Amino acid sequence: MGKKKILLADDEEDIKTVIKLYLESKGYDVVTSYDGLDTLDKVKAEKPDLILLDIMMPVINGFEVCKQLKADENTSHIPIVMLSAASHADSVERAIEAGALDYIMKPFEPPRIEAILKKILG
Amino acid sequence: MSGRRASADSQYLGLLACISEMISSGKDLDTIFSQTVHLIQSLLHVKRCSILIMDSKTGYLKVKAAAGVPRRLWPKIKIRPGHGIAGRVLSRRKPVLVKNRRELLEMTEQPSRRYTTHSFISIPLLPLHGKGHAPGVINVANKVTREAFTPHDLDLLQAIAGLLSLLLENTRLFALSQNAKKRLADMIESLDAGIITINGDHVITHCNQRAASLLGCTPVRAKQRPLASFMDKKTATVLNSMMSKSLRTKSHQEIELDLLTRSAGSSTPMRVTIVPLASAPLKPRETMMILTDLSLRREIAELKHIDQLKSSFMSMVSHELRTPLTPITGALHLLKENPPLHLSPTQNQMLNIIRNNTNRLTALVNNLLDVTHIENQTFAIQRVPTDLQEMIDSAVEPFRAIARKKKIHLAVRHVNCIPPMALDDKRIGQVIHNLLDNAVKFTPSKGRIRVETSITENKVIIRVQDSGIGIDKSHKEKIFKKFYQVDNSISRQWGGAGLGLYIAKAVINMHNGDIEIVDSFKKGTEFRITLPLTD
Ligand SMILES: Nc1ncnc2c1ncn2[C@@H]1O[C@H](COP(=O)(O)OP(=O)(O)OP(=O)(O)O)[C@@H](O)[C@H]1O
Ligand SMILES: [Mg+2]
Repeated sequence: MGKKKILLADDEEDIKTVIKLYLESKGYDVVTSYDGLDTLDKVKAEKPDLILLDIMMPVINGFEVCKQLKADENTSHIPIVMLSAASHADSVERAIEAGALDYIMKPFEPPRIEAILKKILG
Repeated sequence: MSGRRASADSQYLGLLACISEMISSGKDLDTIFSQTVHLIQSLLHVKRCSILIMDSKTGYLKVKAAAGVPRRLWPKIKIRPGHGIAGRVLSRRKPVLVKNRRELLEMTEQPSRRYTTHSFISIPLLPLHGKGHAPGVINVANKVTREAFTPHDLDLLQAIAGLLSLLLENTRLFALSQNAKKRLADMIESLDAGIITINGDHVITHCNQRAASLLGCTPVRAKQRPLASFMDKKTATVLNSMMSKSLRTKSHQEIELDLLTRSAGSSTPMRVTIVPLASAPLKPRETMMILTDLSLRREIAELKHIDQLKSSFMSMVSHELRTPLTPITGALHLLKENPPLHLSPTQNQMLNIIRNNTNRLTALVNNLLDVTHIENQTFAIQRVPTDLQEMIDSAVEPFRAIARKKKIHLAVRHVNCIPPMALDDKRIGQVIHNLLDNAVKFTPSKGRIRVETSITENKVIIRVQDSGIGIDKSHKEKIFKKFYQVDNSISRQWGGAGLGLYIAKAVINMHNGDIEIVDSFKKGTEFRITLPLTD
């Protein structure tokens, strides 16, 4: 069985560095993107097995990216887990509504991500 | 004969004129009644004349005025409606002329001993009509001349009865309108809005208490003064021209302004509504001005605004803190998983300090977010089937290390077995965490902490006891308020935001449960949580 590929979409470089390092140490392949548009491009180019999607991103926010991916039959099958820093505007309901499978509140202990990935990807 | 008749006619007309003049002179009822009975007595030459009026309190006809009846007898005469002659006249509303003893006997239950068989009898009785019911009877008895009453006499008496009925009705209406007027005036006085009436020359004609106090004056002193004398020129000009416009266009005018009255010194935000008054014939060109104090409303609006600012600030802060905390937490975790080979004990200690304080900061940020949700009523729980005892065991686990370090004896006891319950396991876990956090914090070294669960017929009870410094009764309720802390050296030394119990209470209440301090527990502090059993 090959390595699972995770797309990590977040505009915060430090968060990406740490999570990428952690997930790689757990045997995942990790690619990253830096905003909503870039995420849409990377999904098409990289065909990830799962997307970790930050909600507050420049250009197009996470909800919108999620909706577009779910509306496109080429990408609608890819499970999406949202990352949130709990601003006023975002909520679990909105994430689930947009089509996300799960929702992780920042800050989190990295094992929480691994647990969720295992649950979804097996 | 016709000459006599003519003079009687003019006498009678004189009598009617006299009575109607009395009525229009505005004399009081008693005087008018008393003068009327005496006039009738002397003009018709009768032995007795009385006016009986229905007493609404007792339900009896009682003597209101009489001539030829000694005053001491008046209170003794009480006639029930429908009984006796007068009572029947009252009920039937028809005049009666009793002409002989037989009729008198027929109509009277207890004929007066005054009338013997030989007595001459001619007794007219006339009802006084009122609205809805006959309020009284005029009773005239026997001419001195022992002549019978002529139809003409009866006509006169009928006319007098008509006049008196009118008088009674007017009096009733007057009392009613007086009443209504007083009620209206009371209402206007008690209004929270200022009401001023102003004539065409912009002079105050009336002003209620509230308006007077807004103008910095008394109602009496405000009267007859020009409105402009109470305020600055500019405001007065604005208001005066609005009044003119309101009269000209017969429409309401409204403005919001800061009213600076001369005497008050400070200005009050106010809404002024100007209404043209309709009672045109009496008071031409009068307007009513309604003053509504807006200061409270403004204050509320401001408070609301501040509240909004506060919650968007809270949400911003929590977002801005969460973002940097995420890589810190992640990096610390990576360091812990793959520790550098050569960390000196000091470096290790430093790493632990960073980790502990990161956790503390994270907890604080999470608590602040919870508070925001509780306040915005967006705080929600998600019930899942939960093994409460297992959940409590794992909530206690993280405290074992610190308890050991403080040499605190930490024990958990499950009195009986609790079947799975529908709870928000994370939130209830957080409550236990908050309580233990406090217990560890406020219990000195070598103390004891006990967590106990038990189940009764319809509820589950969780107790968290400690042998610490205790909580004084006076703080019993306040302790659950947001940011509330008992000022003591420990809370100062340990910090904390005073949010733990506030959130705990919110969580427990969301589960329809209760959390309270147990008074009878004297060795320290006992919190008792009661959760209703759900099915
Ligand atoms: N077990 C206890 N013994 C003595 N005092 C207590 C105990 N639990 C709470 N208190 C008092 O109640 C106050 C409020 O407690 P709460 O948990 O709400 O806030 P905190 O612990 O000060 O801060 P935070 O929980 O936000 O970190 C505490 O500051 C303390 O004064
Ligand atoms: Mg606390």
